[in-house]
Amino acid sequence: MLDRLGGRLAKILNLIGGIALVALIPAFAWLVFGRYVLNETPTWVEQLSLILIVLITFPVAAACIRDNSHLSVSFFRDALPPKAAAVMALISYAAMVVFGYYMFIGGYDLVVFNWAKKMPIIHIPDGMRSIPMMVCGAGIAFYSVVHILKILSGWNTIAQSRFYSDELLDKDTE
Amino acid sequence: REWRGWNIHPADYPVSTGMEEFARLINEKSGGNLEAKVYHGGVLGDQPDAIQQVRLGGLDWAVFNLGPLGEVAPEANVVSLPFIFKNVDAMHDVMDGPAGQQIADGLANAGLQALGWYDSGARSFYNTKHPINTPEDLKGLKFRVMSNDLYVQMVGALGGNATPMPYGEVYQSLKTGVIDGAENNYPSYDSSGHFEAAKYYSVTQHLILPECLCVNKALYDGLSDDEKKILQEAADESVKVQRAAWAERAEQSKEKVVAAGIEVNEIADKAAFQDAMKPVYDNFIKANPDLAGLVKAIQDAQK
Amino acid sequence: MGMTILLGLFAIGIVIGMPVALALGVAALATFFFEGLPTLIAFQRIGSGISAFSLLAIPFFIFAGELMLHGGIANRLVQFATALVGSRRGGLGIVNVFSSMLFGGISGSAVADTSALGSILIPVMKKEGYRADYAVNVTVTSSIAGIMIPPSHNMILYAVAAGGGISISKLFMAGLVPGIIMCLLLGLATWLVAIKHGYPSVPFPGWRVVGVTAIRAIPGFFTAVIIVGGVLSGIFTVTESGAIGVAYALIITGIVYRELNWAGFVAAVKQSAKTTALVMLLVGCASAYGYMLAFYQVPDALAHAITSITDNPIMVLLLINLMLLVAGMIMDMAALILICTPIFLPLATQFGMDPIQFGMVLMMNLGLGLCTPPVGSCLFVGCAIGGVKIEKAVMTIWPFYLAILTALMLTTYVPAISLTLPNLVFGGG
Ligand code: NA
Ligand code: NA
Repeated sequence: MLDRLGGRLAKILNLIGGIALVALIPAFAWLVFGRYVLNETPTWVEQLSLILIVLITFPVAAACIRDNSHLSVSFFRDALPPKAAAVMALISYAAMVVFGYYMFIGGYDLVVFNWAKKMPIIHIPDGMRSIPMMVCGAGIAFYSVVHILKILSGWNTIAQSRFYSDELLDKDTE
Repeated sequence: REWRGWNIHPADYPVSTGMEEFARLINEKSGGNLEAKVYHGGVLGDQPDAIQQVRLGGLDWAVFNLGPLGEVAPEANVVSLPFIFKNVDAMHDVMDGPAGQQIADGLANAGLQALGWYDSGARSFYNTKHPINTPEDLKGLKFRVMSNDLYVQMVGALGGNATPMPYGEVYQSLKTGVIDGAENNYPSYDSSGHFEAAKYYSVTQHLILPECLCVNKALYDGLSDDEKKILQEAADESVKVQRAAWAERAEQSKEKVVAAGIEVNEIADKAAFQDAMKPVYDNFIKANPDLAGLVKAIQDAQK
Repeated sequence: MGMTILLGLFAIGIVIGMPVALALGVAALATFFFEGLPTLIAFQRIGSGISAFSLLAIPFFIFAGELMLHGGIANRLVQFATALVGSRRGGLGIVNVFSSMLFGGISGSAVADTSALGSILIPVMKKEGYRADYAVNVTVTSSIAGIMIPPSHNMILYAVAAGGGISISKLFMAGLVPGIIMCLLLGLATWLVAIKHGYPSVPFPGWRVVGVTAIRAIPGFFTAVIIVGGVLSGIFTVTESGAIGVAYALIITGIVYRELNWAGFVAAVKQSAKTTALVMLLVGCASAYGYMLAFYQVPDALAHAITSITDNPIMVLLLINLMLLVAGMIMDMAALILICTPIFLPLATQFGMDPIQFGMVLMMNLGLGLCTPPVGSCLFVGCAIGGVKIEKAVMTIWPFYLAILTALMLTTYVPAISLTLPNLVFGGG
């Protein structure tokens, strides 16, 4: 149930990132066009693109927690018996829940702290820049919780298998 | 606890000299009770971020340029109005007087206790094409400015094409013609190497931005009266040291770039430039009606 | 104590398999708590680390690389390289190195290079009687060309990690000569091993075929010409040329080659957004971590430690290289660029090395790390494509390591290799 919700959420997060990425291209094309053809450089592109990059990074990075595609070093884990490795995974996800929680709070604080300050040139509240960070924090915490629940519910499978991996659990739950 | 200070410049810069002097003096005057150190070179973040850090108390003190401080205290923005100061000496007089105090009060509302005003010289236009003598000479040229509405409007009002761009890309862009010019003071024009690419330096002195030596407000408020006095004395002395060091540095840089073959031209009559700034000033006062008095006070003080 | 927490928690996070970005974030956050600093600042560092203008070229370069993969540009480059150099002994090996120079020149990513060229070339090489481990070794090691030969998003990461004072255009130019030297040495190793094993060559197809394949490959290759040429000629900034490169690649793959359909486009967007997000979160978290490294003045401490061992510049540079090599064995490139630059760059410059040259040393050194066990993403991808066990691939890889190490030592001790070209093009020292 939670996992299916997570899947839908990931689709939305990836969609936001994809749209932001594609939007960068016409923005810069317009910048070059404005400078050369109109001799009037659009000054908003720099500021807008800084928002777009945040919109790519934070939502998609959260979705990447779900499919474990973040860069990590797994060979220590792989060298251990499956149960010990699963315990390591649990600790790591637990730390990520905590981190995600603080990232959500930190993002929220930044939104509030910088709300009155306006971004130069485009004049929208500077605090808006940090909303995607809140989303990312919440996403990291949420997906880490889902991983923890999966490991706990699949504990018997782990105990019987020769090695631990997240893929092993995915087969049982999806 | 040792106070953590932030500085964007490398350790051998005039601002850095001033900060080290301030740290030395408060330590000496307090008999070792007050201790401060400086992280040079912006290793703890860039200017807007460091401003936030000092406001929050993550850092204890710093020297900030009044340009970026304008984002947190509108009063500070007044000195970003182009051509508001006649020259550097006038800037010193104004900032050390009541107008400076009003800006300091604005900064205090943002959580920063201003102790003194450092010098960062006067910014002038330089470009790759020809000397600038009248606003018409800017027409059609692409100038890099910092991402600030006032600077963008200024170049626009003078007929140029304002192109916000990160500082690190400017050298290359001048060399290859992505932009035609930029604006800065002599030491930056020199140290950035921009003089190699843009040889016409026109002394418009359109921006004379002071820098603010400041301490976290809560930290300052928690000090005893004696300690506050020590801080102020140390700040006043360090201001003298910094301004002298800056003047010397600016002169060195000027000599160096002139020797390298750049062409400097003074502006005989700045009135045309100042007149062109009217819409910029009008816009500013329309957006910040309560600052009209401060603008006028600064202008009157220089009459 | 604080420094111990910072370094120790990160190490623990890595060992238990936490995503590197989050291991950096968690360790940094813990020290913020320990020092009683407002944690808001930790997240301010993450946010500002990501929204830096000079990093905007990264999504563009990644996107361009993905489009080339999905749109048939890589394919055509391999066909051209095969026609041109495939008739030498061990020709397909040399084709592999040569393709990496061409393709890597465009994509700027060693892993993309390995997966794109590996999936085309490794099966062909196996079919022609090359040993699988050889095919994998050549593919994996030559993929470092993607980092050295411009454009390269890793160089942008380096410029940012170095504090933004280094010209990205100069870095791009600087990478060309060391990159080519490295490829020549790799080509030599490829050729010598091929002779030893008596590998075959494909018959020379004639200059007409070379011409035809060249004409087919040129529009795709022009993506790189646009990106690099746009920067050098001053028509575009680095970021702009990335965007224009993507727009151009879209036109070529979608309209000229007609290989990029909607599904391919969506796949390319999705993968690019993902890679961008992974790299950028790493950048953000490394920025928070770097804040604490600076806070504890770790670079100074390390510099003291090293200079207390030796004052000899040659030895210091060797030590730096060794430490980077060890770090590169267990961690991936992007993270190490971000972590190691603020630590080692001041030391290297103190001993007379130009920041641009240090960048080249860093790129090549960490690039080698991508091809070494136990953690090497290029090696992993290559082995997966080749169906070879990592242990087996590594048994026969040493001639290729030797070639890269030779290039690395040349780059470290001969400044002219890195600096002549950029100084020639842009002037100044
Ligand atoms: Na490249
Ligand atoms: Na490795």
